[in-house]
Amino acid sequence: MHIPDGYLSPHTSGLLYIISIPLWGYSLKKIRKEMNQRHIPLLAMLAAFSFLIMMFNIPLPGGTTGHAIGGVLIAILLGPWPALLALTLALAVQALFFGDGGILALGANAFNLGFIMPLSGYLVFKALAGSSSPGERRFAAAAAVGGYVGINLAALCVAFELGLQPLLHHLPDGTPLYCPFSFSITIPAMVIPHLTVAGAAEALITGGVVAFLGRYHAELFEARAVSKATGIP
Amino acid sequence: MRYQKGWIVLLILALLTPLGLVAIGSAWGEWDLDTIKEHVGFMPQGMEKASGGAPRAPIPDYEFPGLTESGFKTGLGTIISALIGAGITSVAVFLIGRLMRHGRLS
Repeated sequence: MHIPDGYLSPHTSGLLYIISIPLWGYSLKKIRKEMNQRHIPLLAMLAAFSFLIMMFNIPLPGGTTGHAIGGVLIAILLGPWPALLALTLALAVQALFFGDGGILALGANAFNLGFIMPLSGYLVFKALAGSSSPGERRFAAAAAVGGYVGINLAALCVAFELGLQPLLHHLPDGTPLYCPFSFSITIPAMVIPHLTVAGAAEALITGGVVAFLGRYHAELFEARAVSKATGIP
Repeated sequence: MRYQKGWIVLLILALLTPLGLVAIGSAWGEWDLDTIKEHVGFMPQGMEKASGGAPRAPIPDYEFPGLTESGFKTGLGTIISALIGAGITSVAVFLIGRLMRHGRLS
């Protein structure tokens, strides 16, 4: 799900940077003003967790591989805006140091994995969790569904951005200039593996970690409660 | 240290990252240019240009060139990459937190 450089046209990459830059600014503002600064170490740990979990590649239907991301888990613990910062930093390190995902495409990747995924998953989680509290089964189940929805919406965004390329940018004879795959290829290729194996992995990790922490370290969720009081997101 | 148990869990995760190499194949749509050429039969002109200018990553694909001869060594390179990457990521969050406290980031 890390779009490498070259797949997106400079226009698309640039546009997604233009969208992501104010989101990054807003994320920093939210963290500074509304997140308890005592939770910075937790955010640092969760960012490292996300970096590591993305290294566990699992075989997907269709012969490709994928991995869980952890974006919704961070959003449930600390809110979607801190999750954007954590994911952006993990993605930046992956791109700059390990060539995993593009540098020009960092705006796109941060938008898909750092913004769309945590925010959508968090909203689904909130709607489903209702008034349940950490440690309750409903709370963890809502987290699992949130993780599942979040990773799938992110995958759909990637499919959309890639599939748009041959439509937007091609030579007069129709030869694509950038990502050569159209929607009829990108959508099933991204969506099917994420609706099945990768989505299940994300649901399992999000639900599993939330269930464990809810039972044994419910105090960690107070970060969320505090930010809820101050209105994140 | 706060969240000591959590950091220990992360250390264990980093030591287990070679398991992620077991999955055969690559992620869809993350192929390098040569593989793209194999898949579609030609090299889209813009792809070559748009990906050419980027600086090369110091540790491409989480592998150290000198550590790839045997399965064991490959795993070692992955573990070192995991520790470096997770370390830099969390240090970056701490740094931003510190800058915020000193009012440098608004």
